[in-house]
Amino acid sequence: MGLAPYAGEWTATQAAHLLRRTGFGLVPDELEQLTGMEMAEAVDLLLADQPLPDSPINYNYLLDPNVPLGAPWSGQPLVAGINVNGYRAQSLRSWIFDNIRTERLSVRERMAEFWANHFAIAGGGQPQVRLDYHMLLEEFAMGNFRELIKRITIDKAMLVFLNGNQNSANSPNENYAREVLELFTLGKGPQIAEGDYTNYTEEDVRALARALTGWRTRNLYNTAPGTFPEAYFDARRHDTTDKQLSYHFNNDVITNGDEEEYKNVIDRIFQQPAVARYICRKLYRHFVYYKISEQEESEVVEAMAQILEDNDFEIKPVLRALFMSQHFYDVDNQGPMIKNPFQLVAGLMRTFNHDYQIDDFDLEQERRMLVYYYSRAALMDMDYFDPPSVAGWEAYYQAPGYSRIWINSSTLQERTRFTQTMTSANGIGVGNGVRAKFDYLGWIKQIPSATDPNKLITGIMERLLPRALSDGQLANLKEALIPGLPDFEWTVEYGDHIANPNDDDLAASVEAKLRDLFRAFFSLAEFQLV
Amino acid sequence: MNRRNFLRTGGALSLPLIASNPLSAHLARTLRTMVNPDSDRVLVLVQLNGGNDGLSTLVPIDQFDNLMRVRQNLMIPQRSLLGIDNNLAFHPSAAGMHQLYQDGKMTAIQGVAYPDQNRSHFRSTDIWTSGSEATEVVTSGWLGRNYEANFPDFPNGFPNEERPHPFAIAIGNQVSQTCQGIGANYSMAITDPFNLLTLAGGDDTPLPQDPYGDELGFLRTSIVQANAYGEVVQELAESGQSLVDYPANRFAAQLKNVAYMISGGLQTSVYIVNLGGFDTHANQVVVGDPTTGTYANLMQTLGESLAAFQSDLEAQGLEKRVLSMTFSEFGRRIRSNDGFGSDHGTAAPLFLMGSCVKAGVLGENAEIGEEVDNNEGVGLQYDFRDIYGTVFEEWFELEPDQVRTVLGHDYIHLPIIEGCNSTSTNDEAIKDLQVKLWPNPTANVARISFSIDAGRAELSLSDVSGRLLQTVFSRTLSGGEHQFELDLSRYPSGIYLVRLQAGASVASRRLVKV
Repeated sequence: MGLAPYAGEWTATQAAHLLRRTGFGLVPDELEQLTGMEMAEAVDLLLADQPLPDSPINYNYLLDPNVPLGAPWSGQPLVAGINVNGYRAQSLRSWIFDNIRTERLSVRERMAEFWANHFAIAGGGQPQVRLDYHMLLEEFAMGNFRELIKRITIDKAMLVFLNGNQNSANSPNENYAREVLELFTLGKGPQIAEGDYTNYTEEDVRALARALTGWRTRNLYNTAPGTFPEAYFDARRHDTTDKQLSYHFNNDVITNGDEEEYKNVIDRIFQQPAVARYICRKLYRHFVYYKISEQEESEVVEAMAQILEDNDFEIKPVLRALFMSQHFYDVDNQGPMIKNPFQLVAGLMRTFNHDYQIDDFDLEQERRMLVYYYSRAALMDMDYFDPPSVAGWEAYYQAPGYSRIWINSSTLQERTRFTQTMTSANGIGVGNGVRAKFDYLGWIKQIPSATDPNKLITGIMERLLPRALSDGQLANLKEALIPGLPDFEWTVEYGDHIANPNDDDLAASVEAKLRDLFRAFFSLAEFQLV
Repeated sequence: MNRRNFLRTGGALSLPLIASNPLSAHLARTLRTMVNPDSDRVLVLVQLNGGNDGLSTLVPIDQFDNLMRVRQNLMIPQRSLLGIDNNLAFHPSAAGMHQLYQDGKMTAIQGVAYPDQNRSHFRSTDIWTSGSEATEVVTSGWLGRNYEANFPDFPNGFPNEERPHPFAIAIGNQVSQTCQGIGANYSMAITDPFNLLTLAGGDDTPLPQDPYGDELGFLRTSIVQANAYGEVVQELAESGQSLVDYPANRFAAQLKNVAYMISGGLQTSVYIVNLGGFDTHANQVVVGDPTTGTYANLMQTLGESLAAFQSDLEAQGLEKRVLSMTFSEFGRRIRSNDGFGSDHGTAAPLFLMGSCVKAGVLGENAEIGEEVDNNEGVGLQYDFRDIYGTVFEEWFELEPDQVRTVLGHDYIHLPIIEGCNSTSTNDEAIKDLQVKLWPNPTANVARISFSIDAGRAELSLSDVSGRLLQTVFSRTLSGGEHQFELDLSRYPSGIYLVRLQAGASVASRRLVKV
């Protein structure tokens, strides 16, 4: 097992698997593009550094004197007496969906999502603060894990969220110190003695809390001109005494380092082998499957951890090895991942190339569309900027269910409602009488020989589903397309449409049939898998 | 209500401008609470997919010689046919339907279609399921709009104590477009009420023994559990019964499942069953033995199954609660093709079955000419929406104004349902309109005379493929004899169909221009 390179043939099956796991859905053409490359070339393309996303814009708020419609609000001040945070918070939600929508052939947004869960910050917060925090996750998406934690440790959003800004020599606050050990780096192991969690002790939590004292935030909501939210170090609040660590840290002592001390803390934690294993286990669950056998733990996760350590905690070499490994492409790992709500919603948006409409929308229509998508995922229990707790979403950590936790009768109904809406004749109203919907008629043009209903259905299957369906299921799908009719009637009617593309009645009829077919696809249990 | 208020699109490609639609709220205001809440009546829609060759189902014996001229390769010897009254005879394999007719459990309505026939399966099915004009795209279904009027919030808040069961059940993998509301579809698709795992789109293929199979199994179970109606449907189907033997085919199994669900106490008012295979372009009959082949098999399946279903309902004392109705997107052409088949046509008979129908035949036998155009279909007599409207009024007890609102179209009450405490009091007598058409053939102008009771009448002219050429008039006429002129000077030589409707009486005549 291990991370031995994949040696089989590089076909659309492997390319599709790689794309679906590293991105959201399958954007038309991307599969062809990736299939035509060598595997290493394809993986390197997905891992290439990308420019940071454009800043979020003001979609619809007319009262912000500094930010006209369509302009970015980042870096623009708050305004006394005017609540600009409302529109900015909503703009953030649109922005994350738009980042995913416009991303092409990159693993970055999937990794940003990984970090948004790993370094979960629940609740609203000042939009500029949330934006800066998320930009950090984007910047380090495939970067250095240790450096990322260092930046996060003194990030204003995290200082507020886990009370680091209240942590002082006189009154230490252990919240961040505890989570940095328990959730961000080592993981809480079994309790092996009073206050001893295998990798660290309560004593370590207290010591690290003291080492991190002195960090403050200011101007979070200040409307005075020229002031911006920021973190800063207040030496008077810093505990300069020695911090004695437990035997888990070889009884080391952290001596005073003032505003550089937090770096020493992180560096010291990262000397523990558990760090690389902990994060690689989570990466494995994010990209492969939540169940990890003993053999997978000892061979695959361990190999990933070795690479991470050998590369000074750079994430990219780990992903590269994983995405090029035999194990990643094993049949057993094709398809058993239950889509998280973003994979479902953004996956459909991208797979069906909703750019075809969104690119032409005005600002308000675009905002409504993106907010619609964002809120669908939220209704399915994944509110991207408001994870349930600092531990992130349960589906990423709660044994034994893990990703099965996304599925319950309420979320399933939301999933179904979403796909029903996107296969309804009228789609979603986004203002000015415009109905947002997928162009199924246009979409099937990418499928070769789509005039043959069997090729049409297998073509859709290959693009939407991780594995082939049974003959009985394919027959049922054909019943949805051409109930009780021989194959050639699809050929005739679709052919008629192709020959008479301007006949609206004909197009409407063929599209109605396609909606039936896609609704049947989306209703399959298989559709929830990736 | 103005029909323009209907939800429609200018074709799906002309994205994305669609006016917001007031229909739902409008219907709610107009109709809410006006449906009889205690009604336990059930409509079973029998969709015959593909376009049924009505001339083979119910053969006009008085046209036999001319039929032999143009579709000899499909024709069954007259002596083999199962004759009924009105110079009509059923296909010999449709013995089950023949029996239903002889027992007084069937109305056969001849020449059912709509003006301006469309011969695309997809488009014509849309028209039949929506109840729209041929010239407009309506995305809601004719039954769905009625549900929408009464339960506009569905599916939010459903099921509930008052409405614990699905409104409609479509047997199969697909919800029925007939039950499409403005947003939600009011039908639940059920392949097998005794095995709800099929709700998750699976089939009998075992799951693979690997992680994918594990997760798929988990999802399928979850999907079934998440279906708000799944459990009650299975429970009531299991408590239902069936007291007769059904033939061993999938269509009969659908009807048998419906019988179980009705007898188990499911308060579902519409079931939709499907029989496919009617698209008989080729090998409709076996060469040399036209009593056998695809079409004979279809008739046997259809007839035996419907007869068994009726017997089952009678054996359980449920027969007065259930009305069944066939429909198909179009009939087939009069002239057969060389492949021992028939191509897409126009009108065909529609059958209503059950213990509450006004038994008999409605409409005239199709007129088959000596010369038949290659594209010629059986002419329209009854507009399908007249049947829908009558079913709404008589079977579901809607007031005529409500019916018009839901249909989005006026309709003519037809004498097709009676008894079973039917509210029917206004049946119109069907009378011979005494149509005369001369000269025929004509060079340019023909005259038509007819005799009617005072009331609304409509005269229209179509070409042989059912395309509406002109509505000569549509207005109220005094009682007695009338005479009109038909000017064909702007049309090419050929065969035309003249249709006269006065109340529930209809006549369709061929007119030849030389």
